[in-house]
Amino acid sequence: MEKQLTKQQTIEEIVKHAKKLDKLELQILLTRIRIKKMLKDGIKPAANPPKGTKMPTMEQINKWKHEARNYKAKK
Amino acid sequence: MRIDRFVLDNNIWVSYFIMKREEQLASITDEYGISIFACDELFIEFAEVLAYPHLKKYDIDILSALRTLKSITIYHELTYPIKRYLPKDENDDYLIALALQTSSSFITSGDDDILSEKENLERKYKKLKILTKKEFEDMFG
Repeated sequence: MEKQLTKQQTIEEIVKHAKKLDKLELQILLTRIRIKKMLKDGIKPAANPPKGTKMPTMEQINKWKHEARNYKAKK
Repeated sequence: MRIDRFVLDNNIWVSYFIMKREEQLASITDEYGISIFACDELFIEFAEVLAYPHLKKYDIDILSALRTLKSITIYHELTYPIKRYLPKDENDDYLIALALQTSSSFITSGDDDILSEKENLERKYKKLKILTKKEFEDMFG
């Protein structure tokens, strides 16, 4: 039967494994943990358009991407 | 090249944020264990596009959007010089460089300058695939 680990032992196990990872693998692991936490807490949308605002097409968004570059260059 | 590594163009990022679907994107990364890479060039452009006057009607909290973007991506500092990959728009060359430097297998874009180079890029970089937003979403059911 598998031995049940205490919370502290679980943390120590994770740290032990994390220490073996290279920088990129560690970055990936930390990002995964961060995303899990964000999803658990809920992600508040950054946009807050008034009701009825028409959603743009991908063509429009891409056009804005290019226009924003020119807009910045002109400023 | 790693099949679980992705790079998303800013038109894709902006579309998720405008449509208030950033949580869906975070869920995809979590559920399917994929990694999305980003760099300073992408962050700067993302903030510039969101600040563009035409997007004002979507009332986007740019700092919050940037914070979320940084939280769900893996940062990579691009190594220069960057080659010319896209004959029609050198401003997007950094995206191809980001994918190649991070061994990402997929670039998702809604930009014709990139999508029109799909065949050439996929021929030259055998394990790199260029996807539309629909193809990206279809991968994850």
